[in-house]
Amino acid sequence: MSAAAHEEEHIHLPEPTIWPFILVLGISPLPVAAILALRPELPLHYLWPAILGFGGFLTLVGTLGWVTMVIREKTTIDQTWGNNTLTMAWKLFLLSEAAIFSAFFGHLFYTMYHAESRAILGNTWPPIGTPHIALSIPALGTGVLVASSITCELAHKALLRGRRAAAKNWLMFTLILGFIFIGMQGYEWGHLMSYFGFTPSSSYVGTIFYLITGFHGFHVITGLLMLFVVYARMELGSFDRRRHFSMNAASWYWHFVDVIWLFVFFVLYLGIQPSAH
Amino acid sequence: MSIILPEPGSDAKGAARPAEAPIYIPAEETPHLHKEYKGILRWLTTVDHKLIGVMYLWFAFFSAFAGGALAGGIRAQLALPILTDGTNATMGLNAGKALLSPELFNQFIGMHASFMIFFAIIPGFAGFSNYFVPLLIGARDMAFPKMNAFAFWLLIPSALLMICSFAFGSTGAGWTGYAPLSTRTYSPNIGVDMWIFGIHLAGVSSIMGAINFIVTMSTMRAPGMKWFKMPLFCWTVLIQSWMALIGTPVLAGVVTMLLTDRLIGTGFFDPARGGDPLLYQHLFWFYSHPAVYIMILPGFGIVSHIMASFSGKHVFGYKGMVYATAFIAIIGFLVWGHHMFSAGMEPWLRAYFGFMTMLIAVPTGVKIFSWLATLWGGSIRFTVPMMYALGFIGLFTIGGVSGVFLANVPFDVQVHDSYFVVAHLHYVLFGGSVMTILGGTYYWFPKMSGRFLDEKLGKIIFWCIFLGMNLTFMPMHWIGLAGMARRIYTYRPEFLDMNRLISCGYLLMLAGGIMLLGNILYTLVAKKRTAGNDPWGVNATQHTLDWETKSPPAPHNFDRLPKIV
Ligand SMILES: [Cu+2]
Repeated sequence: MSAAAHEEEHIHLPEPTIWPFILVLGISPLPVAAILALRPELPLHYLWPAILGFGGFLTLVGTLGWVTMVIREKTTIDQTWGNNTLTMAWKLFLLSEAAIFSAFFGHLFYTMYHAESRAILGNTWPPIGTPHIALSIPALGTGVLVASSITCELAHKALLRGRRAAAKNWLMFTLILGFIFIGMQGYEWGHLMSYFGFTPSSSYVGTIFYLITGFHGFHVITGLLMLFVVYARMELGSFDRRRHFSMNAASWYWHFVDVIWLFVFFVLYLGIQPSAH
Repeated sequence: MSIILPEPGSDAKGAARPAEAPIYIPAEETPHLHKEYKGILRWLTTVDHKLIGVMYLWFAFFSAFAGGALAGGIRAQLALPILTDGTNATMGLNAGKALLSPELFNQFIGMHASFMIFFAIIPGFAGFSNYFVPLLIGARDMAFPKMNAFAFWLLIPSALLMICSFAFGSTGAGWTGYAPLSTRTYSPNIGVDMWIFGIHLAGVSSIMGAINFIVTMSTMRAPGMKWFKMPLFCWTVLIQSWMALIGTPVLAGVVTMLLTDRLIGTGFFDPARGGDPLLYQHLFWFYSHPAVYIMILPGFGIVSHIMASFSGKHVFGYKGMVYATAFIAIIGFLVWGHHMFSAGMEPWLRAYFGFMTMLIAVPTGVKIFSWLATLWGGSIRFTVPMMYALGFIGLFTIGGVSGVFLANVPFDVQVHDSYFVVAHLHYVLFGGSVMTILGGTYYWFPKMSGRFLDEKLGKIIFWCIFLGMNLTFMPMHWIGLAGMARRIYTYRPEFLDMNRLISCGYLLMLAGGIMLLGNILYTLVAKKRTAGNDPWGVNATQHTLDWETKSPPAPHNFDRLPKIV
């Protein structure tokens, strides 16, 4: 019997589930915790770890419950169809992420363009008080990230050809390169803050510099977590040639993070070099 | 376009599916009966797009009443003010003091807007989209049913955060939250922080909804339903989803900058450190102008369905409607600066934004004329939904025309921050969005509940709302041109009579709203289900799938998946 004919007799509807509600229940206290944590003057300030713990716990429970349910569904329903819809949703999600980054870059362009009218910081770009941020580390970081994108793609290709051992090795390389990148970024931040005293609140350039690099770094860490999960699932052998959506998703995400970095390097780092103007 | 619904027992040939559509292979051989919970748990656990849609609609309805109550506070204050010359016009209600303090009045204004935008209009349309997009494209549910439920539930903490923020001095800076008024220096309380997190949650919800709708419509249309056979309501939701997907993250980004300024001391909008408050406005309006279309496009879709249904015709210029909608969406991202003409901007930029804004009148005109052409030669039935749709045309045209006025830089600078702007935006958002939501409610209520709302009472309610609306917002044009400033708790003596008239209009709308709520509750509780598949008798001309299934539809929507030829 064909799949279509089969469906005619059995209408499968998604099962009702409490997990989305639980997850929202867990997320709800988090903003309260954040406000209390960052506002030491509030009377209930000391409560924030408790609220964070409560919300975090429920969030974790909700996420795990949701994931467990999806995995259980996968064993009962053929979800190969789902890869199309999931891939599309993932790309749309990355598009919305790109929109957030473009808001931040919009800020950067705007401030660059208007730097001449900022008397308070010397009417120049980059403004007075901006340290000379050495290009050596970010340039090296660019190389590292681009290389990691390539190894990630090699891992993906290897998986498509069914060579799981090779895929795992390439993925391991990707993970290591990602960690190196994060280490370099952390070193650079520490150096800028301790040696130059250049912090997010020192000027609007500090603000935008740390926001963009920080938000990007957050994405690198998220990407590393995804790649790690993919690695673990390869170790468990839960992929095959046809079904490896999480590998697709993680590698898409990783390339996305890489592309964003190219913008960070060529626009932000090169843009705030003293000689650039 | 015609629809084939395979009869039970026929072979599956009639229902061949597109390659991407879901193929479910059930685990066991017995027919799959899915679990269902009872009572409150049924609502908490549901992933059925119809139940989620209904929850969205109730949520929007109650938010509208909350927002309406805030508007009542504003109208009470302005009907019984202490005038600028010191005259006590409170009629002895509150000797020597204004009803609301100036700060509280501003909070009322900001919260009224925040509530109506984020929790009444947007979820109202989300309710209809959730309920009817899968029905209209012949699908069993959304592409991601769990994410759909998640997106709805996120609105609850979002709304709670916003309501609670009211007690901590939020939205004194208006719903726009302009820096520097919204920075910690001028709004030191935690209200603004809570308001920002509320926007974050609502934003995540609407991005998830947008992704879900785009994927659903791209992959789950019934066999044979090509893109250009998709009903107009689906098209408008699709285009609206694209706008939400691209615009909302920018809003999230800019309020995040505001939040870090407030909480960890960054300097995005702090001029002392070279930051620029004007940048806030740019980024804010980059989202919030498209937000206007996010709040109206599905209404265009609903009106198209109603117009065609009760004219007994196809909608005129179907493809033109689709292209016009897409054109509006694209231009909508390029005009945000018209909110900032008086905020300081290079002259060439003003000219650009003014020109682009006027350009939007072209595709909007295409739509208006297409609706009129749909009426032309039709056999028109003046049902309640049709009256809302016709009312919409008139009111929205007035709002659109005053929008063209405001696109003219010299005129805008003149009436900036006056009641003229308030009049304009309410003709668009009330005369546009709310009228279409009400029309949609009447049009689809029999489908959603199996019961008809009372037509006679419906007409009375319509006239209350329509006349009340005009009585409220039309005089605002005049007092605005005469120089009454918005967002201020008091005004010059010569505006007193007009403001009292406006407040009477508010009471008329309120009466309409309360009657509507009463009518809906009464109908749900006391009336029997009498509506057949096609309660309005319109499907002979419309051929849309919402009328091809029971009222209300079974959980699986269609016994056999329809095929379009
Ligand atoms: Cu606008």
